[in-house]
Amino acid sequence: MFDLEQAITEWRQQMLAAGIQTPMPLEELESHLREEIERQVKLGLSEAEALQVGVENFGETHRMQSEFKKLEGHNIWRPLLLISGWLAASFTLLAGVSAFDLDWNFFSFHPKWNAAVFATVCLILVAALGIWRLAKASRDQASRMVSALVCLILAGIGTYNFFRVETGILGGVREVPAWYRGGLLLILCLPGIFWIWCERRRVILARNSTHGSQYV
Amino acid sequence: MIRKELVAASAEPLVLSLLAKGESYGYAIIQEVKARSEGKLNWTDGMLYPVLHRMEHRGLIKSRWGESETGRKRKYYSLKKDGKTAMAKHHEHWTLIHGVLAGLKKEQYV
Repeated sequence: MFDLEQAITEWRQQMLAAGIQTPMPLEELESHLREEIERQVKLGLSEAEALQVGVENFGETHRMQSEFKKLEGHNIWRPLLLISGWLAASFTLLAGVSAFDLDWNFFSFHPKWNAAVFATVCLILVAALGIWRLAKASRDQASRMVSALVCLILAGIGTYNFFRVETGILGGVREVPAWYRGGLLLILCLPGIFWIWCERRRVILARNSTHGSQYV
Repeated sequence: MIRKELVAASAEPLVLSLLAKGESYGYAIIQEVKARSEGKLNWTDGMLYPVLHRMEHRGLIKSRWGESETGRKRKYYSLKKDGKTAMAKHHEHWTLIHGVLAGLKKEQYV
């Protein structure tokens, strides 16, 4: 015997599983599903058939979920999280670059490859990856502005460091090759490059997109 | 079959115009659009809700939980002041596009 309540509970669980990162407004969807089942049953379908029609009419769950996901931008915690992410990732990047500089360029310039340097490179890569993800996710005004400022500061530090040829950390005179200084500059400019890239993409997308939702 | 982009673009003006007649809920909105378009504007049920929620976040509409005649929970939506302004703007734009298109079509038969 078909148990409608049990079937709807199962449907809810499936929806929860599909939307695990962004809980969908299940109450409202369930209310809709029940209306549809009621109508289909009146038209002569069995409860099981009506449920199937109702669920099918919702369309693909992942599409609906991705539409709800876009709404996340309106959550106030999201910009705060993104901004904290930007600060943490840029601090990590800066710490990585500084550690690199300490390893290779304390009294004089002496490139060497050891475990510590590899660890530093990994740290820089992880920070860069994090910044890339953050740049893509920063869609709201607040996190875009803060991230722009962070990018400018990092690029500024990189530029300052690039032109600061002669004095080492302890003030001694040293000769640092341009490729090394350029490399550090590039790393510190990466967030800015990512930021511009993502902004550019957003502008192009905004120009091409139609008004409102992509799928209805 | 109306193109997906056009269906998407018309969702907001249609929802606003429907709500201008009085508060309504997701299921009824879909059914009414279906009926008024003689089944040609067939929205995927699930996709209306993200649109409604987005419009609510933008302050165009507001919602409240209520009950149907049979006691079932229902989320009712109604128009806010900004929604009315947005609707007027939509009407203006769609009328303009329609006017241009109709004018061009007329010229083809002259």
